[in-house]
Amino acid sequence: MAHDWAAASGRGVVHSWTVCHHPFHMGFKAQSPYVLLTVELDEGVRAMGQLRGLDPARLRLGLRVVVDFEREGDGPVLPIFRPASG
Amino acid sequence: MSLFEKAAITGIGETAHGRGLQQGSALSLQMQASLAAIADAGLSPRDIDGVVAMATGAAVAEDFITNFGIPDLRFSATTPMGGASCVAAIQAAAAAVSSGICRHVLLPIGRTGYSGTRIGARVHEMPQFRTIGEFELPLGNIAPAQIYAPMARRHMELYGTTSRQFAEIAVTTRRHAILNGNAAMTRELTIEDHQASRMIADPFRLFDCSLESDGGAAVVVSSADAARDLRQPRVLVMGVAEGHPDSPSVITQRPDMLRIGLAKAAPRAFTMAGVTPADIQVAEIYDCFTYVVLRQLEELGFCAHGEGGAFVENGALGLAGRLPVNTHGGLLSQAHLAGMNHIVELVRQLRGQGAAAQVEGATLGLVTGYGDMGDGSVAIMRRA
Repeated sequence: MAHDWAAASGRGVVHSWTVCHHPFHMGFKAQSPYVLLTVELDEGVRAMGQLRGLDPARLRLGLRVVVDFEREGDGPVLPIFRPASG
Repeated sequence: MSLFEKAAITGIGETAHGRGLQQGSALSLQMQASLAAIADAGLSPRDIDGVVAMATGAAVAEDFITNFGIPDLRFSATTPMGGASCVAAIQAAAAAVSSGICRHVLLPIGRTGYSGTRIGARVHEMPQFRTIGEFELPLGNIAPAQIYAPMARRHMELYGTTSRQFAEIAVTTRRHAILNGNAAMTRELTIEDHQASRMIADPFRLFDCSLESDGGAAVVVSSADAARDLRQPRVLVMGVAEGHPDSPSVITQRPDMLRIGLAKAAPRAFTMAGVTPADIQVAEIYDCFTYVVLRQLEELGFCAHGEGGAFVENGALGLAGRLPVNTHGGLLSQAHLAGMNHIVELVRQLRGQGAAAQVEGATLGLVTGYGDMGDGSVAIMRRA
């Protein structure tokens, strides 16, 4: 099957989500509850990231979001998504 | 060649189910359940000539040779599909006995999911989990409740399915566990109790989630001919199949996030059996989460896609409902034995041995398995 690398725009729409209340790992206890978004990127593939900048009660399928990146302390750089403006 | 009625379930056995019962190791539990199943069939342990040991169950086929003194084990296999393994093992066993490789295949499982290795921790050891482990676990997507929740949320958003509809499944299943008597959960549950239970991973509340429990269960699959001479009424396997979803290991990337392996397996099993969903009198549906029951009912054809919520309302899954489901209490309220207890219960029902939870006159039913992100398996059986 032919395949190639392509740069994604980081823009997409909310495909689904969960609000994680019970921390299944101690490392996530302080930030619970947190929202895991499943995002369908405009290029077709999906990506996951935590939600920032929106009350989860306002989430709906198809909401446009854009990626950003966060790093806490010496931890890994992780993708997060915010509502896209305009 | 079809596997239609080439094999029968001839023996069933289980230990007491509960949390912290101190009945022995996971290996000991499945030995106890296996001996019960072999005796139930009217066989001796040395008659077993095939074993499908469960990857989730802490034993290998060699353990049964050693402990039972099996002189010539002719068939061993594993069906590593998590919660779909046990029912998929019926297919493997049916293929083995119908081709003459062996006559009596033991399907054992034992777990100390409460007092030993917690079931939730197992996920991270599976090779199937590697992609999630690399790309999603660092974001906080760790446990099955979190990994499966987006499927349930999307179903709710697309079709208007509600948490109260999930509660219907939990409440009916609990009622059945109480009738069964051998169950980890023994107190009545109401829809209000469910709605008041703490949120785990929205939309899953505590009572949407299955148990971690200690216990063992086992069944014996024999060739249909060999089953004629045994102790119990024959329960024939009419149709059996397994199926794997597209993007099997990562739900996030699945072309249709709601489509599961059962979508491929169910039509195969019904065609092999020569029956339709309308013929099914009792159904034991793998219930790691309430939503998973609802979604499988749709894929099995009991209702249209998106209508699972309405289908389960008003006690429809109860003993006197339109489709009695999980008459033993399932993984939600009886025990988490990766669905081996579902097979045990279906056979018990079809023999008419369901006691207080017996579905009146049931002679034809089905059992499903569901595991490892969405692998599916299903077996349709009838009493001969």
